[in-house]
Amino acid sequence: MKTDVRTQLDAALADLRKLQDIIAVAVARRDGLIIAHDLPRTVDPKKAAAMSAAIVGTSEMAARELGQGRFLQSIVDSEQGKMLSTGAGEEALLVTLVRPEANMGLVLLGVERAARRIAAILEGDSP
Amino acid sequence: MRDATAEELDRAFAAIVDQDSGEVRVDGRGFVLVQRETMAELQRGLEEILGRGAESVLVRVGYKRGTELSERLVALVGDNADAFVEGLRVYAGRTGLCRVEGVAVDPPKVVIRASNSFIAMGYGSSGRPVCHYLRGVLLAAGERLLHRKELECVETTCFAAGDPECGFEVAPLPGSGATTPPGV
Repeated sequence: MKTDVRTQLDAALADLRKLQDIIAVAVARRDGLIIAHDLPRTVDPKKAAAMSAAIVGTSEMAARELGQGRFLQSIVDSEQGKMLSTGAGEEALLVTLVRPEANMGLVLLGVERAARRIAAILEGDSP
Repeated sequence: MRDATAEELDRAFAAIVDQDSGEVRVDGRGFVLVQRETMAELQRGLEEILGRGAESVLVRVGYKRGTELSERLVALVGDNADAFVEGLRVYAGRTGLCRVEGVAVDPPKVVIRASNSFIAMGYGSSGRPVCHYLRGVLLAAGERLLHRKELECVETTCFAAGDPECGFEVAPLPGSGATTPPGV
């Protein structure tokens, strides 16, 4: 069963990775532990997961404080790309690195679909 | 490697207060006595800004300290899981982290029960478990006891959430299968 979860997670990440303009993907727990990733070798996955959890946590608190409703996603827009952090169920996050010139409409569709799929896998609802 | 006796563990982790130099030392390391409510306020402050992201910071800090502690315990007690657990119990008790009530090593998981968690006692009532620093410390200890990485430490019960004591389960991350060379 555990290997099955890993296989399904890897498949979900691989499918997302097939989208043009996506550079790397990772799944982390909301408390910052890395679960699965396809990050570049130069990136420390543990540190990246912890930072993503902090970004999402801060964004959630800011959204609440500013009366913006439920947090959906954070986007860190940088010179050489974008980092999307999306909730994947109650306990996990999907982190996606995207090229700067990406078609964000397509990317966001793919990311949202992948986040729902990953949530279902981790919550044991996946077929 | 050799096995330390309970007396040796007691001696190693005794707190030495040197009023002349203004230092508190345990096992040769400098400590500071901080009221647990102050630590709880610090955690609440982090949570106000970082939300659940605060957990990632606290678990990471606890894990670093737990890794150092585990290395020290292995140096003291050698390749002996029971003595390692005893060392953990003595250290946690002597430094005010918590009272370790029980440790059950049942591969692929370790279950730890603790009372008087410093943060749970200082935090007051909470809807969620609050002992994130302890989770990090115990995650590192669990890695040593289970001889593997890719683990997580979940707090299953917490005094601050209304449970009689705090409970922790160190177990493989979802889907992880890899093992690493032995620790303890």
